Amino acid sequence: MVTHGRLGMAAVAAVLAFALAATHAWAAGEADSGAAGSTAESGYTLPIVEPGSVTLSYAGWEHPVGFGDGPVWQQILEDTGVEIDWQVVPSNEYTTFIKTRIAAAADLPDMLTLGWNYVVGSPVDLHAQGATIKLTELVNRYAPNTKRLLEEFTEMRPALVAPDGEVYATAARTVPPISNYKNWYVREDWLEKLGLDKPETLEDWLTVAKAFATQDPNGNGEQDEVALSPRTLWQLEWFGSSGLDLDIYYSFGFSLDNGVLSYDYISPKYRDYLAFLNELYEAGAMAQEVTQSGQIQNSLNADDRLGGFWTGIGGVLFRNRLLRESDIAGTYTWTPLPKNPQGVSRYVHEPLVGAATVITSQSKNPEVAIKWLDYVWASPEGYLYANYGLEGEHYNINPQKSSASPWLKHFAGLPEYSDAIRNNPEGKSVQSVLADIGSFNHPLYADDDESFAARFSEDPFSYELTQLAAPIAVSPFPRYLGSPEQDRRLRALREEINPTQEEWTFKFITGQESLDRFDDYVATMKRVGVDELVEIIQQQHDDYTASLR
Amino acid sequence: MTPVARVRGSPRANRLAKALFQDRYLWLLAVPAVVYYILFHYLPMYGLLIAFKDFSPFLGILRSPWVGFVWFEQFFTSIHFVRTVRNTLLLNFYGFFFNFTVPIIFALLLNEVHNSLFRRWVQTISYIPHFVSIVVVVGLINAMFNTENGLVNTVMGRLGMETVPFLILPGWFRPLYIGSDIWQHFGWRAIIYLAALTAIDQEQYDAAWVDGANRWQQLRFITLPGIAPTIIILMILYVGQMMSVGFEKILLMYGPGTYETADVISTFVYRRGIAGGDYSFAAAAGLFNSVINLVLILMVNRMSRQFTGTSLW
Repeated sequence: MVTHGRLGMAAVAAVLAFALAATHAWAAGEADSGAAGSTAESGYTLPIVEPGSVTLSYAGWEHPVGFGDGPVWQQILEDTGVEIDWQVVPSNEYTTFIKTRIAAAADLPDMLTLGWNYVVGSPVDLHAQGATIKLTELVNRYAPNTKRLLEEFTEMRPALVAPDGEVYATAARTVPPISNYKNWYVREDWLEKLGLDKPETLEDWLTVAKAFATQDPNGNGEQDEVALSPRTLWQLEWFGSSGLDLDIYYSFGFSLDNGVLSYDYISPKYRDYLAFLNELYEAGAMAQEVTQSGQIQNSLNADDRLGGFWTGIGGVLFRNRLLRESDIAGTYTWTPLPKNPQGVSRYVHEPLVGAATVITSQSKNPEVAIKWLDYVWASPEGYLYANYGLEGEHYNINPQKSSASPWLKHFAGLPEYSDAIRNNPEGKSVQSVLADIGSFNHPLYADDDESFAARFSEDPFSYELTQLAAPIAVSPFPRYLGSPEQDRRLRALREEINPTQEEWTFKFITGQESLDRFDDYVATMKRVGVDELVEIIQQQHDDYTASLR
Repeated sequence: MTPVARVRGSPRANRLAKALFQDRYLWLLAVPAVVYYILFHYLPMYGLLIAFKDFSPFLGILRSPWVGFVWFEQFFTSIHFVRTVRNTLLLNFYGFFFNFTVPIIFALLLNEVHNSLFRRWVQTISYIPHFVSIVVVVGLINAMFNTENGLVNTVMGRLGMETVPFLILPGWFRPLYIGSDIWQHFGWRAIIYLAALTAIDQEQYDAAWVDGANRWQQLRFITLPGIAPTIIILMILYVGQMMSVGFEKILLMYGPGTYETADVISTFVYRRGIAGGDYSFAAAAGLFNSVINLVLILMVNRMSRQFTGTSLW
């Protein structure tokens, strides 16, 4: 294959830049050793470059206030000296925007964010195509905070470090487990009316859902209640994940037992799960279509007919407001995760990393880019800017306490929001004050449960949930960064396997297929390549585990 | 001296140049359409190469490596292949039958209405749905046919009938899909027939009436033969786009309950090729789709020429 001229040039340029920058950094480190706190250990000193001498381009989705605006980003500009050309679009347009540019393979920004769940592409694949560069060397040399985080906070490694041991992406947009707690909510007043407790086991759920469906809790004389209304079949997997220990839901079927992988969508326990759902369906506890659109949920909600649904914290606030606006005296409340037959429940959370950022092969300043990302995303300063705002104004450091956040592990003291931000004169929440100054919820944001808990400490509802979820939180089976060949094979396999699994599951739930045919289902799944799927994922898992040693 | 006289060469070339010059304004008129087809329909065809290559946007179409028939093999051996091809053909066949006949019948019926105000009123109302977007139409279908607050099930409930979950039953997918298609487009599709009907010489009807032909006989021996060429040309054109229609609508309408009857080649290609990023696979399956299409159109054209003497070429 012919070497691409442009790539060849870029490689040469990168090597030269390495050499130059390495000597420079070494010299700078020597001169200022110990002067500027944690960031001066190795790699870089502040400002990263002579102010105004370097402009990097960054592509990501828009921040509510807009990147570059807001005092926080002004402060970061002052600290680093690196000017940023923000190439941002609204989040719903971002995938189209960036995919087209990658497909055109020209005029790429220095840094780009891969979109939620890497919709833009796997960083390994993008590298194989020549769009991005490996970051291992850069991280080791110039990004001490990133390096430390990757070593200490291993849970985010699978999303950034491939099984070959190389770093392909950085600046993980984290999805902390507790703050993203999602589960099933039910009408609290209906429970009371029917003399029922919050359901704790799958048996209890059957009782509650059947009672909702048949005992007319809304009192209009008709059995028009929808006890459980999922948007997707997947939302129902919450029940099986905790109540039957199935590794479905956020583990997507992959179950690891003593290093050996199996696929839980074809396990005998999955049959029990289907039997549970079929019983609910036959009892009329779900709509005849099983899943319902948000639109229908809203109308059921406002008509006093919606019994239970799956959502996050914001979602339940919306549904409760809709009840109030419809003059319905009732509220939705959270339910505990179902206990399995041994009496244990578990909260399998979302994968920790939702998105990440890469440096492109067309970047002329990859070492400045990695330093800038290190400062903005990985350093304690960057973390504080993103989660707490500006010191003195929005938060103060309490030297008596220490932080549990991985970002502040080697940092003295605990940041605490100032009274000014807690009791905003305009009545704004901590979150919206933060958003206004440019921190919080942007694609380079290192989100963390500690700051979440601090933001919500005075909201009893959220606090209750954090108390509930934290002790039983379990990480899902990781999504590894496979090789491009594995990725391609997995894409093809998933397209055969997922619709097959969905179709059979749906028919088992609705009784269009009898559960006696479960073996036929398993046989079909084998025919469409489940064994090969498991084999590839097992390989990725083994390679990854080996790379840690 | 005309430019034609300056052209030298064979007499044949001369004749061609002369013909071109003579019709220069017609050619000028045709240029935009010709350019459009070359630019957007013929040039992109070289992109079909990626069906036989392992395409990567960074390497480009020409530099991507050849892989032969790998993608076709994957497509033909997929568990979805037989089902999607069957569904594509059946959905198109039924769709063709109803979408093609209903507008003709509608046009003929409307033609018999003599109150012109009423006729125009009906015509306008019938073609308005044509301008409604597919997303809205599917929204309407869901709103009408769901079991919670859908109009159809509510009425059926009032009449003491059991509710039917139309939206998840494989047997109801085709009726809903094609029925909504007819509803949306029959008025629009009838316009061209109504135009053709006005072109039939009124004297023929007068003569037939004098000869004692009744309305039915007039319809059969004057009206239908009068619009037959239009019907046949439209039929061939319809067959030409048959395999490619309706993919967005299916994507919006189907779910795990109805995959069995609703999953077609184009939705499969969308999921695997576009959403999954396997552009080469999408190109291969798309090419296969087009080949079926070409075969169909050649067949219909030939049959039509043989039996009716009317054809596209």
